[in-house]
Amino acid sequence: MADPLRLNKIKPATLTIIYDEASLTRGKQPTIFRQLDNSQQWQLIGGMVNTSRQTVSTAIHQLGRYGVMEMAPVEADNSAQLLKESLTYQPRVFSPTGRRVPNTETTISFQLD
Amino acid sequence: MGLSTIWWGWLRTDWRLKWDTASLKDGEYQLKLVATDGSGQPPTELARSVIVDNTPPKAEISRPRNNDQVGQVMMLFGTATDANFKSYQVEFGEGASPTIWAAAFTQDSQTSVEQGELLQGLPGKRSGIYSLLRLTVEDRVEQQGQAQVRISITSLMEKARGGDVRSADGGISLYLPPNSLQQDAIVTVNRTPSSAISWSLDSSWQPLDLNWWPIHYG
Repeated sequence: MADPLRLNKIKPATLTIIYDEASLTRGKQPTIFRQLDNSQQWQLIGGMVNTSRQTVSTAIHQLGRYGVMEMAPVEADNSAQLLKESLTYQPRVFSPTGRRVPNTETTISFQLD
Repeated sequence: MGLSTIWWGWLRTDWRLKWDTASLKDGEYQLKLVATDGSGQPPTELARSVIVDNTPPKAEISRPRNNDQVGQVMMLFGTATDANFKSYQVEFGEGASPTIWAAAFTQDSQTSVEQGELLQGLPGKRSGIYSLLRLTVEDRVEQQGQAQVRISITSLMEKARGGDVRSADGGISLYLPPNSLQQDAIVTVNRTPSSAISWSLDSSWQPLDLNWWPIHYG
C-alpha cells in the first residue's frame, strides 16, 4: 500500500511560506527544512527566495512538518553533480507569453550531490 | 489548625449565618456550633466537616489550536480537572459567533482529563464550516471553567483535481497539482509556533517563527 504522505514522484507539491525580512540575520537567508518523522532532526530542503514578495518556495515530495530557518547561503563547488531524479519543475504547464495557459513562469527544483 | 470564631451572640430558631470563605485557602474545615444556656449546664457542641473550594475548574484546549484546520477525524486534547471535579462537556456551534450550541456528548463526561484526549470527532458529517468548540468543566460546587477554540473543518481534496491549501493567516500556501496525491484526501496547513517544537540542542540552524505542518488524512 502506498504511503499516504508521499506524493506522486513526478508531480510534487509547491510549498510557499512568507517570511519577515526584519527577523533575518544579515547575510543569512530563509531556508525550508523538513522534520524527520518522530525525531528532532531536520533535513535541509532548500527553497527559492523571492525577496520582493518575502517568500521562500520549494517543491516537496511528501507531506509532513516543515519549518523555515535561516542559514548562510551555501555555494556548490565545481565537483557538485546534479541528481537527475531530483530535477522537477512546477507548474508543469506554463507559457512564457501567457497566451495559452495562465502560468507564465515555472520553478525548477533540483538537488546537488 | 487554627481556631476562629465566626459569630458569637444570642440565637433564636430558624437562624442562618453567612460565612464568607473568600479569604480562606481551599481545603477541609471543621465547623463547630457551641450552645450554652444560662443555667450553668455544660455546653452542647455540634461539629460538621466542610470543604472550601473557591478555585474554578481548569479547562484548557491544547489541540487543535485556535484557527487550526482539521479533518473529519478530529481529536480534541486538553485538560478538564478540579479538586472536586464533577463533569465536563464539549459543545460546538457553526460560524464565528454561534448562538446555538450543540453538545458533543449525549451525557456529560464524568472522568477528569489531565493533558489527554477530551473528544474524538464531532457527531455527524461536517465540512466547509467554521465551528467553535467550547469546553465547560464543572465542579461539585457549581463553579465552571471554560475554554474555546475556533476551527475550520476542511473538505476532501480530489486527487484528480488537486488544488491550493492555505493556512488560516494566509502566510503559508501549498499547491497540489492534479494527481499529486495518492488518493482523495483532506489536506490541512497549520502554523505551529517554534516555541512549541523541540529543537535539537546541537542544531546550528536558527528557527524563524514560521513553522507549520500540513496533515494528511486518508
